[in-house]
Amino acid sequence: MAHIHLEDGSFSLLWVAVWWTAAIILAGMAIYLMRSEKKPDRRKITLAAFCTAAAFAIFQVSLPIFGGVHLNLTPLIGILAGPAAGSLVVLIINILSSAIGHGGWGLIGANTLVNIVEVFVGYACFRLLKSTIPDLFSRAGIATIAGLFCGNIVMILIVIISGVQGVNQGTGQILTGLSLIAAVNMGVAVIEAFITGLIVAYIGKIRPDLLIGEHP
Amino acid sequence: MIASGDTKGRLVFLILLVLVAIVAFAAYQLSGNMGIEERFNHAVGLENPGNADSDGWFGFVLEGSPLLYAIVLGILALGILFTYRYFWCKP
Repeated sequence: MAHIHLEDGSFSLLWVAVWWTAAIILAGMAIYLMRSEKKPDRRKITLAAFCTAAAFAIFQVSLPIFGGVHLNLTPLIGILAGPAAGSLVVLIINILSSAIGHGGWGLIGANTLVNIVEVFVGYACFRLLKSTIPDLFSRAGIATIAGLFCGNIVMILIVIISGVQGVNQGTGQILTGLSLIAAVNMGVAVIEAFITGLIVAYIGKIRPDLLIGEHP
Repeated sequence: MIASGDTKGRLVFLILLVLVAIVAFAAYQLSGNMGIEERFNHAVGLENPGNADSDGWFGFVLEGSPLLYAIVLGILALGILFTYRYFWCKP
C-alpha cells in the first residue's frame, strides 16, 4: 500500500544504488535464513507462491477510493509466509510490477524496503499480540494497520533522505505533502486491515495449521 | 460466545479503524481529489506528466500494460501449480 509512486530519474543514481543494495542485502539474508532451516517448510513455499500471485494481481488494480489507490496485502504476506519468505515475495512483486509498467526500475529497491517493513511489522505484531488478543480477525487487522503505518513512515523517510531531483520544494514542504499522502494511504489501510482480518480468520477456521505459530 | 480477550481485541481494532478513517478523510479533504501518481508529484513538487487516465471498469483501473499483466499472471498461476504439485502434494 505504501509505495513510492515516482518515475525513474526522481532519485539520484547514488540513492537508487543505495536502496537497491539495501534491498538485495535483505533479500540475501532472507534466502540465507530460509536455506539454513534444517527442514524447509514445503507448505510455506507454496503459500509464498500463492501470496505472490494474489498480491501481484491486486497490487496493479487502482481502486476508485480517495482519487485512486491500491492495496498491497503486504502484512498478510508477512502473516502467512513469514518475514523471510515474505521479503522475497515483495521483491518479486516489485520487479514484476515494474516489468509491466507500474513503477520505475530505479525505485524497486526503495519500494522493496518499504514493503519489507510492512511484511516484518505485520508479522511481528501478529505474533506478539497472540497472548493479548487471541481473536484472529482483530489481531490480523491491528497488525495490518501497524505494518502499513510503519511502511508509510519508511516511505516518507526514504524520499526525504534521497531528495527528489529537479524540484525547488524545501524539505518541510515535501514532508507536509508526503504526510498527507501517508494519511490518505492509511484510509486504504482500513480496507486492507478488514480484508486481511477476514482472510486470516477464515484460514484460522478451516486450516489453522497454515498460520505460523498458531497451531499447537 | 466471545471471550473477553476477543472483545478487547475487536474494540481496539474498531477504535483504530475509526481513528484512521477520520484522519484519512481529513487528509483527503485537505489535499483534494487526485490519483496516487498525481498526488505524489504534487507532494514533491514535480510537474504532473498528465497521463490520460482511463475510467477503467466502474472506476477500477489497471496500472501498467494489461497484456503484460495477463501474461505475468498466467506465468504466476503456472508457478503456483508447479509449487503446489511439487512442494505441497509430495510427501
